[in-house]
Amino acid sequence: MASRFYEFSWDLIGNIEKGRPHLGPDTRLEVYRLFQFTLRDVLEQHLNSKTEVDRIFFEAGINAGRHFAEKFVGKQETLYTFLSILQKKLQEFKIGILRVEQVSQHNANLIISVEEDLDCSGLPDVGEETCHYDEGFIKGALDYQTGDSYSVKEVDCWCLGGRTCRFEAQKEA
Amino acid sequence: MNPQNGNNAQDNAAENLSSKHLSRDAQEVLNILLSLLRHDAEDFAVPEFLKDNWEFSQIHTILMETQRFCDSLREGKLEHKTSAKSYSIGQLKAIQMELRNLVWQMQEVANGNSYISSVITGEISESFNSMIERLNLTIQEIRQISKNYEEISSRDPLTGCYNRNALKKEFLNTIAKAYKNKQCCGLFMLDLDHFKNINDTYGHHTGDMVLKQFVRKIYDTIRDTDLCCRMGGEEFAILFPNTSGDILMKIDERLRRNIAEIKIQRKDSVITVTHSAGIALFTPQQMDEAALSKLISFTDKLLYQAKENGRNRSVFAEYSVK
Repeated sequence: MASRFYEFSWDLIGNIEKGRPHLGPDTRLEVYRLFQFTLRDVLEQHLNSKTEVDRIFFEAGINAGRHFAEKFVGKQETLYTFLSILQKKLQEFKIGILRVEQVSQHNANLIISVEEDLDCSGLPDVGEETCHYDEGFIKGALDYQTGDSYSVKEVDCWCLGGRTCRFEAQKEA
Repeated sequence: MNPQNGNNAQDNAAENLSSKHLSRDAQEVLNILLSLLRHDAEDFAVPEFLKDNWEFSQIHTILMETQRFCDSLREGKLEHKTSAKSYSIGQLKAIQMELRNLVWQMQEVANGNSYISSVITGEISESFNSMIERLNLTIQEIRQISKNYEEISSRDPLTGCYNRNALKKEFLNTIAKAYKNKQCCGLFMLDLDHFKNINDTYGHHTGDMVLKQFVRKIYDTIRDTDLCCRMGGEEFAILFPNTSGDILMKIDERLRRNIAEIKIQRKDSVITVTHSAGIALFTPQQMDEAALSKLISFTDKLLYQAKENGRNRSVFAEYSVK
C-alpha cells in the first residue's frame, strides 16, 4: 500500500465542538451498536469468515486502545496509577465500568472486568464472546503503558450468559 | 447471532398447559424440583426416571454450580470458576468481581498506593469509600504534621533561617542540583563583629534583636534559591547556587551596605553592626557530608583571616572540590 488514507489520527475525529454546537458529543448507544453490527454483517459477507471479522475488530481495538490511552491517560509512573486514570476515563466517556480484580507480581497477569460495557452489556447469550474490540482495546492500552506485549482474552461476557465482561491479560514472553 | 426468544417459548408452553390439569407425572417432577431447590443439590438423589433427562440434568447442574459458587463466596474464597450459565451465576460472578476489585484496592492501599477512585456500587461502596476517604484524610493530616515537625526541626526558632540540623541535607541537595545543572556555587561564612560586646552591654534580649535584624537583612539581599543557615551563636552560612565570582563580590558589597543600615536605638546610644565574611567559589562535584565539611572548614578559615585582618571585611578564594 503506497499511501494510506485512513491511517488513524485524532484529526480524523474532527472538531466536534464546532461541528455539533447543538447536539454535542453524545449519541444513543443503539447507534453505536448499529454501526458495529452492521459493519460486522457486511464484513462477514465480504470475508465469508466470522473469525476474520473478529480479528479485524480485535486489531481495530488495539489501535483504539493505544490512541485512547495516549491521548486521555498518558504514560504513568505505575500501572496502578495508569489503571486508576483509565478507569476514570472509561467511566467519564461512558465506555464501561472498569474494575481490576487481580494483578500478579511484575504485572505478568491481570484480570480486568468491564461492567455496563458499551459493546455487549444487555446482549443475549449467543454462546460466543463478541468483545473482540474490547480485548484489543485493553491490549492496546496495556501495551502502551508497559511497553510490553500482552495477550488479552475475554473469559466472561453477556454473550456467554454472564452479567459482566471479564478479561484475562497475560504478558507475552 | 440468532438468540432464541426464551420468553415467547415460555408463554406458548404456559398457554398449552393452562386449559389442562397437570398430569401426575408433571406434578411429581415439580415436587422433585422443589425438593432439589430446598436441599444440597450435590447430595440429591436423582430419581431413576429422570437420570437420562437432559433438561433435568441441566437444572441439576446449574443448581449444583450455583450452590458451590455460593459456598465458595460464603467461605471468603474468590477464585471460584464455573462454565455453567444462569442468571444467578451471572450475578454471582458480578459480586465476585466486585469483591475481587475491593480486595485489590485494599491491597494497593496497604502497599502505600493512594486510593484514587472506586466504582463499587451500593452500600459496600458507600462504607468502603467513606473509610478510604477518612484514611486518606488521616494520611494527609499525618503528612502535614510530619512536614510541620520537619520544618520546625530544621529552622532556627529565633531567626527563622535553617539550623545546623538542616544544613547538611539542604546544602547537599542544592549542591547536587547545581552539579547536575553544571552551575558554579558560592559559600559565605558570616560572623557578626563584636557580638559578645552587644550581649554583655545591652543584654541577650537586645542581642537577639540584632540577630533577627541581621538575618532579615540577609534575606533582603539574597535570592529565594539561596540558603541561609545559622551555624550557632552569631555565625551564619549562606549557599548560593548558580553564581559566579563577580556576582558573589556584588552580593558581598550589597550585603555589607544593607547590614550597615541596621540601627537599634537604645536609651543613650544607637547600636550598629558590621560583619566579617569568608567567601568561597566552587564548582560542585558529587559531594557527601565529609566533602561538605571540608568546604565549610575551608570557608571558615577565610572568615578567620577576615577577622584576623581587622574585621568588617571579606576574604574571597576559589575552592576546588576533590
